[in-house]
Formats: sequence, C-alpha cells, structure tokens
Amino acid sequence: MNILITGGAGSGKSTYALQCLRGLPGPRYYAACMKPADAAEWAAVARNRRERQGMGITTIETYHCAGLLAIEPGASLVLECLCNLLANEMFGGRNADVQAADRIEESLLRLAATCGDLLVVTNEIGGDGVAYDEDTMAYIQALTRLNRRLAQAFDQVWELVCGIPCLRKGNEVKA
Amino acid sequence: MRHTLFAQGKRGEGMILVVGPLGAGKLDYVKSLGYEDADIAPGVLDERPVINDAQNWIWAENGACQELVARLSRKEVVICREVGSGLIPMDAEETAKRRLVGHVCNCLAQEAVEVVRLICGIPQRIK
Repeated sequence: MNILITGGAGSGKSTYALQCLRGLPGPRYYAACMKPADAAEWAAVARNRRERQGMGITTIETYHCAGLLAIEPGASLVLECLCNLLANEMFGGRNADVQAADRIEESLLRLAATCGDLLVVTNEIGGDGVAYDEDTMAYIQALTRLNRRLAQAFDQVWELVCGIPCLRKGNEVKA
Repeated sequence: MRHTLFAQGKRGEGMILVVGPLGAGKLDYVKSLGYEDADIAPGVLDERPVINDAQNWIWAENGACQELVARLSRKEVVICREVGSGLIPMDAEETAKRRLVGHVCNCLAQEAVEVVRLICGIPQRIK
C-alpha cells in the first residue's frame, strides 16, 4: 500500500510513520532526506537514528532521489520528508531547478510500484499567508502540487492533527 | 445544534482541546458550547475556565512541554491556533516555537476528553 502522511510542524507525522513501519513486513527502510545544516540538526539526526535502533529499521541518509532507487523491490519504506527532498533537489545548484518536482514525482511513483509498502511524509506549508520571494513561492507551489499528485496516486492519505491521525483518503485499514 | 452534534463532553468531565487555523471559527464554536466572553481568557492562564490563543501563552512561558501541558490540562477548554502549516522558517528559533506548540497540542490531545478541530467554521470531533 502507498500512503501519504501530511500535517503541520510538530503534529506527530514522524511518530505515526514509524509506528506504521514497525508493523510492516521487512526489510524495513527509513530514508532520511534532511541535510543537517547546524549542530542542532546533527543532534536531531543522531537522536532519530538512535530511536530507530533496535526496531529492525535500516536508515538510509539520502538527500536526492537517486539514493532511493537502490531499495530492493518488496521492501517497506518510510521517506521523510518530501519538503527536504524537494528543497535539496530544487536548490542544490546556482538557480532553482524547476524540473525537480517532476523528477521526484517520477521516482516516487516508480518506488510506489516496486515497494511492498511506501509511506511518504510531507508537510503542510501553504498556511501562513506570507508572500515570499519568487524562488520560495515556486518551491511552495511545487511542493503543494506534488502533495496533490501523490495524494491522487496513493491509496491512503492521513493528516496528523495534534498527534491524531485523520484519514483524508482511502479506507481505514492499517498499512 | 452543533453542540448536540459534535460536543459529547459536558462541563466538568475533563478538558476539551479546540484547534484550527486562524479564523476557522474556534471561538464561536466554544461559545456554542455555552461559554460566554467572561469565561474566556485571552492568552493568559487565570481563574477563567477557558483559555483562548493558548499558543500565545505557550510562547510567553516558553517552558518545558510537560510542564506547560500539566498547567493547561486543568482548564475546561483550551483553544489553540494551529501554527505549524506555514513554510518552515529559516530561523531555528522560529521553527522551535512552532514545534513547541505542536508538541504541547499532541500531549494535550492525549489528556483531553475530546479534541475538536475547526475548518471553515465546521467542527470535526477527532477524539
């Protein structure tokens, strides 16, 4: 089953995704897409890696789509998160890469077809009413469109609110 | 009408958490439960049974999550704005502020007898 997990910052998305992954058949992978920028983020990466230790989950630190293609067919995979993956793909070079979202969509749909279960964690980022610069607006547009495309293609969409999973698409059966 | 449809809890049975983005109708919903202006404290923790804009109180206190949760749990109703659905700020402190509100709400939701989420004035009872 292919599942999209969304929600605001600190709404419990990661906890829920990991809880689902622990109940899925192996091999289990967790793809972490956040490129640590400072000491606090490195600390968060180490903390998250420790958290997954002993759960039988293999962590892959991958900042680009290419790193995901090596995952074997039939595996259970959590990808966290789309907003980091898109930022890395889009803003890796001198100019914003407008093809980035298409590349991610293609890779994830391919993964969705080969993985046993794929859980993609994304974010709600369009809700602050702030007008940003052109590149940032392009990023928000790209991520929100990607969210809509994946929601259409996937079996289930969950929104986390105050740590409570609310089903937005599909039938209420656990992955 | 909305009261009978959505709010299962009664006053005194435990804390009700009401969340939703800016302008979603949280305050109107709480008033529909029978609370009046005099019952509702704006962003402060006092003897009134309802706290509105709990996110402002959380930011002003800026304490440990568990301690904030313990103090808010004693209210009859906690109204908190969802603030985590914007672009992740470049500033780490701003990010931490939004995450703190998220984490406090996650814990409050576990304590609450009822969690109601408002969108476009429509209450949805999610717990």
